Parts: sequence; structure tokens; C-alpha cells
Amino acid sequence: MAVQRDKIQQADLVVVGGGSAGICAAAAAARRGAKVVLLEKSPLLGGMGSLAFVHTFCGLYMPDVSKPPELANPGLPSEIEKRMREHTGQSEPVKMGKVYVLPQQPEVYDMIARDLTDGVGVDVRLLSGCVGCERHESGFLIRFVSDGKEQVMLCRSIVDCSADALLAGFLGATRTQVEPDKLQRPAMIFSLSNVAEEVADERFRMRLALDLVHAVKDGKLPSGILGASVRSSPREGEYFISIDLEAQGWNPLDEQSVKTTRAHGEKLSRVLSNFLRQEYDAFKDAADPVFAPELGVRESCRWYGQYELSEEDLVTGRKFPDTVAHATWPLELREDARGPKFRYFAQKSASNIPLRSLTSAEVLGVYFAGRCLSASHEALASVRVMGTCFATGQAAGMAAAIYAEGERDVSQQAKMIREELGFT
Amino acid sequence: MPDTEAIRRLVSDQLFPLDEDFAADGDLYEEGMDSMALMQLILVLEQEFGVLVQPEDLDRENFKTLQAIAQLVETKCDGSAEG
Repeated sequence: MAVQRDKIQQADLVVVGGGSAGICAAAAAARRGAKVVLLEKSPLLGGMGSLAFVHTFCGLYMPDVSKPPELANPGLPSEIEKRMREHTGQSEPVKMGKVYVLPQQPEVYDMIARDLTDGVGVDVRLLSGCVGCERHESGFLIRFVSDGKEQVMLCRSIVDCSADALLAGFLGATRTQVEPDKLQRPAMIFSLSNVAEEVADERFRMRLALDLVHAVKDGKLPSGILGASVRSSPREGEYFISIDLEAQGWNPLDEQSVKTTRAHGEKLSRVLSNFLRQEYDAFKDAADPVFAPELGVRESCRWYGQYELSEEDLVTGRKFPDTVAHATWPLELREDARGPKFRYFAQKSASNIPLRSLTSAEVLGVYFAGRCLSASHEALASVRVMGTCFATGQAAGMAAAIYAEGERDVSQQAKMIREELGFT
Repeated sequence: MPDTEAIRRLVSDQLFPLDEDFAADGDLYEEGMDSMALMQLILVLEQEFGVLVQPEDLDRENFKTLQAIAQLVETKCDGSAEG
């Protein structure tokens, strides 16, 4: 159905998806003075960090735990880290084996994301799902559904932070996805509040690990429970329990698969939560579990960029002339539900993400960040984490704004971004 | 009885990768051993070596190094052999 011309809204650029990458893309572009519209299909900002209860910011700090924690990316990633620490009263991050992480609280994160985008004048449209995108003589026409009707927005450039390379589908550009068997497994996360502090204790965790193994062997618990782990929230008395799911035939872009997998995850979560409350004093007063509305999805489709980031690029710390973001998280492969398999970088410094891996090889004016950037399956296992999504989002947002200002050359855009971020 | 090499393979294959030259007395907690990894470790030790890990075995030191794990399994094997 044709839309009347006077009904077409206008912006310099549109960011699709209000997760960790999208909020930073939108805020970074708005700070450059661009008129930015951020479309988010859910009622919350923060993506996996608010909707799936992914409760640790990974990838924020340099990969050397022999030194005090040092932030890896300037600008928005550092600002969000600071805000989260302030709002949750955490003076410093937590060391977990060979990495530092910052525990985060989903509701607090949504609030920080709203403050951040509001503060710089981003036009945030919640409950606004993008349903189409086509090329137009002066940029792109984005179609989205909001307030019960279809709306159209004309813009010069776009940033796809949809996590699934949604716009590539609409624009007929190449989308890549690894074969289903290798896709990173999803997680079901729930929270329990009013839990005793003892749960944070290492001895308690060890005992719980042993009990779960034996309960599964004795047939008291289903084997799916063996993908579970417990982590403390920065909110007092709250704990997050995450269950990696084997998810037969898992396809994150298939509604049926998502529905079935989530139902299975919720069932396992209920069983585990009941077990915890029945068997342990520390959990006996816990409130009913709160289930994350969405599954924690680690991998789906990505864009085909001017450069595809590889595993070797990351583990060898390869340098690029157009580096605009730093990656620090090890490759964290979860191809089964039996815990992560890490591959650490060879060097103790950050690895590099070039602007070309955030820039479409096929459609001028299209940028992408977060989980749908251009990377191999293995490389994505590192750069998909929220701390790195902040950084790729920030860089892609700046690039899209520079493009909208009229500078079309990607190496020139990278030069400007590097100067602004103080990359040498 | 498992040697530390068998434990190294098992940890490397099932939990987290260890360098070829990772020492038998190297600290596994520095390599990523945590409660989730411990759960997987207990599972595979019980499967591979037919031992039963008990609550009294849950000393941090028993899982700190490849050597310590091998020793724990050895003790458990001996114990079960004696009936």
C-alpha cells in the first residue's frame, strides 16, 4: 500500500535494534549532531542484557588479569561501565579466571540505556518493529509498525543492530549463518531473589555442583540441568541461574524453534528452582523465579562486510589501519550445553576490529554492529559479548553519522573516528 | 590409575584448553576452573574412572592442579578396590 508523501518521517539515520550495540550506535551518532531514530521492537532497551537477563558485561576490560582492570574502549563503553558501577554500588569489576567482568542488573541496565539515549536526544521508538527497508534516491525508506499502524521513515544511512542482520534480508544483501549444528547454544536465564548470601560461597557452589551431578545420575533431575550455572547479581539477595540448552534443531530465526526451546528452558528452570528451594536452606525463602522473557541467543545471521573478521585476527592481535573498536574477550565457544570452551588471545593486549567489518560490502550507507557484524563463526564467539557490542555500536553509529554528513569514503570515516576516540 | 597426562587430556577436551606445556602443578583456577567447570569435571571423572566423588572430597585443593585431580582419583580407585 502506498504511503502519502507528507506522511513520510525523516531522520539523518535510523538504528534498528535497541540492544547493547544499538543504544551506543544511536547515542554516538546523536552526539555528532545527527537526527537519530532508534527502533526497538520490545518495550525495553538493552537487548540480551535486559530481555534475556544476561547478567555480566564481558569484553569491557583489557585481557590481562595480572594487572588492575583497565577499560579497553574509550567513549560510550567506558561511560556505561561507570554508570553501571555507580548505580549498583560496585567499586570494581570481578576477576573470573583469566578475565575481568562487571556483573550487571537487567532493570538497571534498561534504565541506564534510556537515560543515555534520552540524554543525547535520540528519538527512541519502543514497541516499534522494523518490517521493511528499501533503497531510495536519497538514502533508505524504513518501514516499521508502531502505535498500531505502519509508518515510514526516510533516512540517509542505517545501522543494523538487530542481532540477526534483519535489514540484509529486506535489502536483498548477503546474510551468512553457520550450519545449525555448530550454532552457539542458547541459554535460559532466571532470577531468584531473597536468597541467602551463603550461595556466593565457593564451598556452597562446589557442593551444589556435586549434588546436581548426583541428582542427575540418580534420575532425580533431568540431564539438561547439567548446563546450569549460578551467579550473584549486584542486587542484594538476587541470583541468576543460567541454563545452556542443547536445543535440538535450534534455529534462532524460526519462531517455532524459539518457542519450543524457550518452553523447554522454562520447564528445566522450574524443576531446578524447585529443587534448590526444597534441598537448600539458602534457597528456602527465595521468591518464585522470574524468567527472562527471551532466550539468551548467542549467534544467528550476520552481514557480509568489506572485511570478515577471523579467529586468527583476534588471537594474533592483527593490526588494521581502520581499527575502530577493541575486542578483549576470549573466543567463547558454546557449541554444546556442557560449559564454555575458551580460546584465549596469544597476546595480553586488546585485538582489533576494523571499520570495514562494520560496513556493507554490497550496499553503500549501511553499517552494522553487535552480533550481526561481519565475522566468522569463531570470531563471533569473542566479539558477540556486550562490552564489545558497545564498542562496535559506537563505531558503526559514528560512521553512519559521518556518512550522512557527506563523507562517503570508509578509510576517511575510520580516520575521523580514530581521531575522535584517541586511537593511535 | 590415571596419570596427569590423562587428566590433562580430559580437562583440555571437556573443560577448557590447556597449553601443551601446562605444568602438572599449574593452578587450574587461573585457567578458568569454576563451579560450572567443576560440575563437568565431576561428571567426567565419575564416568571415565568409575569413582564416586563425595562431599568430603570437595576441597578446593583437590581440584587445583592436574596432579591433585589425578591423586584424588587414585585415592578413590584404591578405596573402591578395598571394598
